[in-house]
Amino acid sequence: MQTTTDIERDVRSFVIQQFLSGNASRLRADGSLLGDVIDSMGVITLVAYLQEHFGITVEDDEVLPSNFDTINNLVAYLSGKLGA
Amino acid sequence: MTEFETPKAPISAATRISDVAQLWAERLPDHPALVESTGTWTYRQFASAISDTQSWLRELNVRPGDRVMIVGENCRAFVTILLAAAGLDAWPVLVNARLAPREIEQIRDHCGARRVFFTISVSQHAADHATRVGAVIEQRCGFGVVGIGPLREDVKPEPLDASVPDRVAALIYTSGTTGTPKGVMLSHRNLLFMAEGSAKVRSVNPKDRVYGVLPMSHAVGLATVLLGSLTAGASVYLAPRFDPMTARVTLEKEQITLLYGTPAIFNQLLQYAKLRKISSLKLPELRIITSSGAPLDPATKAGIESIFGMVLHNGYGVTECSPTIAMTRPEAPRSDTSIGAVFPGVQVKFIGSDGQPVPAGGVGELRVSGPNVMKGYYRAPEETAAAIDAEGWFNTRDLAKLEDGNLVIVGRTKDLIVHQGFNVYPVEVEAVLKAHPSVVQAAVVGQSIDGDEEVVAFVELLPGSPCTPAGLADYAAQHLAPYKRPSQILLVPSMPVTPTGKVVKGELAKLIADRTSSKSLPPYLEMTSVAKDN
Repeated sequence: MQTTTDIERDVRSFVIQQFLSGNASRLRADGSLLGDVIDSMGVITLVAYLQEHFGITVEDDEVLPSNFDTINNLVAYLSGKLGA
Repeated sequence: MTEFETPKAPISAATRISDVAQLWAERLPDHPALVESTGTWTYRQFASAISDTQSWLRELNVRPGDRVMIVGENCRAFVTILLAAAGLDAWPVLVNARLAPREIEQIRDHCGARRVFFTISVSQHAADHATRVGAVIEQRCGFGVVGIGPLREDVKPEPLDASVPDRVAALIYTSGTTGTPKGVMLSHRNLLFMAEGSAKVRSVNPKDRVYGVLPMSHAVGLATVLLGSLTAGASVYLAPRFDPMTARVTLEKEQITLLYGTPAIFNQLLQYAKLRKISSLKLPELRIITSSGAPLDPATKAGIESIFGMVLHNGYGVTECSPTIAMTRPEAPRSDTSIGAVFPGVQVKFIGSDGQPVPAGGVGELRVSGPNVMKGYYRAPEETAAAIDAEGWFNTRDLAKLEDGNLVIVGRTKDLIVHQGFNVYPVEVEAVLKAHPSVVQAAVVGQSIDGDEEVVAFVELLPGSPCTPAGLADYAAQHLAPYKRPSQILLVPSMPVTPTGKVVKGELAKLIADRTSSKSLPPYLEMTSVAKDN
């Protein structure tokens, strides 16, 4: 089973590589992702990654700022889905 | 008897754009006017909020003729301050919070804003701008948190036009796809003409629930989506930004009946459908879907029509024409990407390079006349005179023709590439590239080399696509005459776009120039090119 540390590492790595051209210094754990880092097309890319990488189904009504707007929110959301 | 047994006609008694709320408050006071995730206002509550906000603006020393800048994204606060200011004969200056600080300051300084308001409840961008300028943050009863910029004592109000309908109702800065922003002055008459006309063509009525996701800081969102709905007593579901997942939930849950989008929005819906493996959506209440803001390509139209099971309508316009010039009609759906017939009450003519009207059916520069043509560009008399002639014809600088009663845009006069003596219309090359199944977006610009212009294409691919520039070049070669084929195809992870989804070609041209002069390029630009084979 993946720990929250594993989840955060994987999510951070994906966001940095996919949306920030590998520039990790532009990402804060509590910084806003939606609108600033990830546009609406990026949300689709992120959801596709989460579903494939973590083997989960992300429902449309789960794509909320409370789940997706920061790395911390994403980790908490994924931990809940994975029972980590 | 229910309130809808005798559908009400669109309002035609309005003089100012703010009148539409009060007029429907008298007809259907308890009917939903504005709906957002934080709450709903009936027409009565909406009219009352506008009235309260007018008192508040007066307390904040806003006077008739003052420019009142509103920086935000779609929400009740944005709409209410806009209509309240317009009702006071102040000039609402509508600014998308997604603009950069420099762009916002440029607009503020140009228009001489008496006050700048930031509607920050649903917009982190607006909140950041408010913080940057030291705005006072206030919780407004009913519509959330607003940042109030400092009072500019030194600005003078503009004199009021004697005719109320001809007073400025909105000032919208437009950059088009090149050049410096210009402030487009739209009058109450301009906006009400467009709102009432578009509502009538689409038979908008109080039963309609309209998805309000196009930015109301721009002409389509303001005139067609917001005012076109309010003038007909419909309910507007405000969304500050588009994402396909929220859109699908809203379309289904709220039983949306009208969806206005852009090609970019519909493309995202297509990608979403691929992700979810959706082949069709069941939206029995949805009766009209329509695209505007950028050319619609056949692949997007076909894909969306397959998923929605209905015709995707199309339209064309420019901010200076409030904005619609042509649109396809619900009673005459098109199977191609035609932009449809000219908007009712609007006249067009086509002028050749010799300054004379072209023969019937010929391509010429499109000129527009009618109640939708703007008053002019603010504080720019020379630009206004260059755009509108003495007889009131506005020059779109688009090349167009009439074909079977429908307007066909061939290209922009300044967006024409002359390569080896042949005319190349970027829109045509872009349409071909966008039809490739791996292409999300394509933009074509000219590059001057040794007295000639080369055709250069920028392409954004689907994430993870194995497609290469060489593969795209092969594809282009199958569909384009040799002189039209791009000499270079450059892959970019994302296209620079305006808030309304138009590609900023000026930025792309600059990237080419920087590349030519060996300046350092942004790390995201993957310069992969192919040689042309012709």
